[in-house]
Amino acid sequence: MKKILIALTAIGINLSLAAQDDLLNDLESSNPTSVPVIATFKGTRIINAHTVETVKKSNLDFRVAHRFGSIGTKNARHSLYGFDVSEDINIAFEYGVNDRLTLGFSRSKRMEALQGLIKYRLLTQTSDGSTPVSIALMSSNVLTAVANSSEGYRYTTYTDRLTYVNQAIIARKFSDKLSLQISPTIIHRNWVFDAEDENTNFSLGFGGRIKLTKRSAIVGDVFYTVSKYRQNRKGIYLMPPLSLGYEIETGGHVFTLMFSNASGILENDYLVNTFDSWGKGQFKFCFLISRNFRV
Amino acid sequence: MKIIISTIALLASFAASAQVLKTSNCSIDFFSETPLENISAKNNAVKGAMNVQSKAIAFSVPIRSFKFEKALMEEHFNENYMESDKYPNGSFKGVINETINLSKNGTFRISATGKLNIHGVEQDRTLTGEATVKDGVLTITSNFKIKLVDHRIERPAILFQKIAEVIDVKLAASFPTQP
Repeated sequence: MKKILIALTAIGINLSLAAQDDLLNDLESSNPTSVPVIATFKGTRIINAHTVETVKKSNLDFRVAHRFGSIGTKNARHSLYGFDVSEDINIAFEYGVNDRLTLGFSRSKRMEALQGLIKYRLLTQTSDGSTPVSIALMSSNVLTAVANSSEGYRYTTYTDRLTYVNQAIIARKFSDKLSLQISPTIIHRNWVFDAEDENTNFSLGFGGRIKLTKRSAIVGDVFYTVSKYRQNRKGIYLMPPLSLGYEIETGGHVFTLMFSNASGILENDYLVNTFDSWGKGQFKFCFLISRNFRV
Repeated sequence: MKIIISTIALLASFAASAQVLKTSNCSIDFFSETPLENISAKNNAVKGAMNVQSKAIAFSVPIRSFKFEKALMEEHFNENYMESDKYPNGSFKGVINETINLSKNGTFRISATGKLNIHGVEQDRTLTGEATVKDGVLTITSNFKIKLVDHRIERPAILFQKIAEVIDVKLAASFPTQP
């Protein structure tokens, strides 16, 4: 009799514990199972390539990017392996009108480029896979302010100085460690140096990020630009801009340390003007500092 | 015979214990105070349930629903601190130690003993708070502290000390006691 009562009491206690679990399980079953995927990339760029990420609402992203000179060339030691050279410097301000729309303005040393940027986040991947990818559209328009010279630039009108890059960026975060993206791109230059050169080129970009720790990652990107003229010119060949870097995020700041064979920082430049080759040691040390302010 | 009666009584008590109050009228606020920066966030997607007879109580907190003033902070909170992809929900489940008379208006101190689960780490806790019964609505509020190390939430070494070691949490829930 006693034993039975003890057994029943034990069952009663077990059931009471089970009741707590049931309460909680019942609540959790009604919690959202699918959420938008965040932090596919840490910043708005991998290295050269734009990511699907936009600047958050009311945030101002202040960016300073620098490309030093070639490290591996014959005379590189005379410039302390490129450190005395600044191939390009870009100072940018990018503002999040809302979480989807970013407007930006920047200035580059190379060709004294002034850039206007519009970027829009079209689609966001969801955790249940019902939306498998994130998509952003990016348009970068550059005014080349460099002075005309007899051997180089011979712009005749203001519109000659304009170049346009329109890009779709499709990315997927495969796991919390791995994100990959592909970016079909059209670049158009109103004026080209040689009459045989193409005004419009197609380019395809690939990029990715492998997270090492909670706050650092290995990043890389490459573009392949189709240009019959530039790939077959004597002595000077268009090379795919290939970049590898290490990214550190400290909450508000993103630092990227990287190597790239591209000289230009803006897509309007590096997509069609990368003639340096990794194979010839013409890769450069580069860095980026990005700081987010809430304004 | 006695066994049968007690069995029936037990079963009956389980059957009665099916009276469960549920609410989605719950919120959690948290505050982190440091000399450098004060951080706060609010979550209105919290759900609560309470078994009147067994006095079992449970709250479920979808971590992604915490809203911050700064969107970047929200991203860092989810990605770096709470790892909400891995641990999407926080929870408390326990038993209220006092008896609450739902049919009489009044305010009294209560406490609940059970398990607090945050960042996938369970801690045995007794949370204290206040219960108010007013015109058929039971309101529960509780202020408690969460020590980040207790739940293996790492604070960055590389950052300035912007995040407090101990976070202040405020829970508020209203249960309608009549259907």
